[in-house]
Amino acid sequence: MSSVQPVTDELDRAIIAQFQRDGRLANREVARRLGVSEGTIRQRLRKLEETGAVRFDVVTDPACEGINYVAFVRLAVAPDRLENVLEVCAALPELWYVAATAGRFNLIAVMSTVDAQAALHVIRREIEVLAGVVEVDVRPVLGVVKHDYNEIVIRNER
Amino acid sequence: MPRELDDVDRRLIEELRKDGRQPNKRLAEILDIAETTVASRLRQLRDDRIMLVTLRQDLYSKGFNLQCFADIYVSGRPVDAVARDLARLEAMSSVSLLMGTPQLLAVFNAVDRRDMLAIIDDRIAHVKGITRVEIHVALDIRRYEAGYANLSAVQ
Repeated sequence: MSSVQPVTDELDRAIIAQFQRDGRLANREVARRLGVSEGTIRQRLRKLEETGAVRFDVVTDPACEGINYVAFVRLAVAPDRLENVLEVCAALPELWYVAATAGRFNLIAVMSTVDAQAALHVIRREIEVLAGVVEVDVRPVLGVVKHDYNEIVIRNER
Repeated sequence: MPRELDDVDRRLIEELRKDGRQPNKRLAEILDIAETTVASRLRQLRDDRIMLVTLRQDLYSKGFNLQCFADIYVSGRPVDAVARDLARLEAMSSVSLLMGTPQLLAVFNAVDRRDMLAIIDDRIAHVKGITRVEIHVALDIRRYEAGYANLSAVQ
């Protein structure tokens, strides 16, 4: 599924945990907390970033960005059209999660938009019109009880 | 309600998106404001849970090979209570409230098939009030990169 290897080294994991809590910590401070040299932190970080295991990122509150509507979008797509629909969906700026799935639906995406009207626009103009899309199931999210925002997919080999 | 961001906040966030590790000194130069202003603004954005610079980790590098979507049908118990129990499970990546049935959509990660089975049969099955679980398994994740999170709601 992926060329990225699991991070198993204890020190690597400790470094990741520190920077997950605060990505603006100085290497020097993390080195002090973990009892290693600043150079070690720098080297480890560089290697983790180069291998696609981690990435520094800014996470913001969606409401402050004017994003007020989030929904799971689930599609049933004719098998011979799935690849094309996946590619188109992955390129839509409103869809930040797109995966081929096994189950009643064979494509699941997560969509964030300014409001319901904008979401409708994406569904009608960008998704329903795609050849092979036979069912579109939209599930607006009314509340988030848990969200591990640290999790992403950096590289994916198919 | 989230507070309104002013121009300085927005430009700071914009700069950090380019490079979240830029020192305060450089941010101060770019925005042409005092370094102490940069420090206090960043602290305020963080304390107000509006913005966070963080190190994000690849799902596969965490050792997870399977990501699953679970439609959760609830009966005989408040949906919020079921959602809280699910959120406590370590394997859960997200738990969202929906309207109608299913009442909840939970996303969880598993190391392998055996782990996936254990999560469904042992952990999810032990949460009271769940009458039906319908699973979709992600076979090929093409994009996964949310840049925002309800920081005041997340645990």
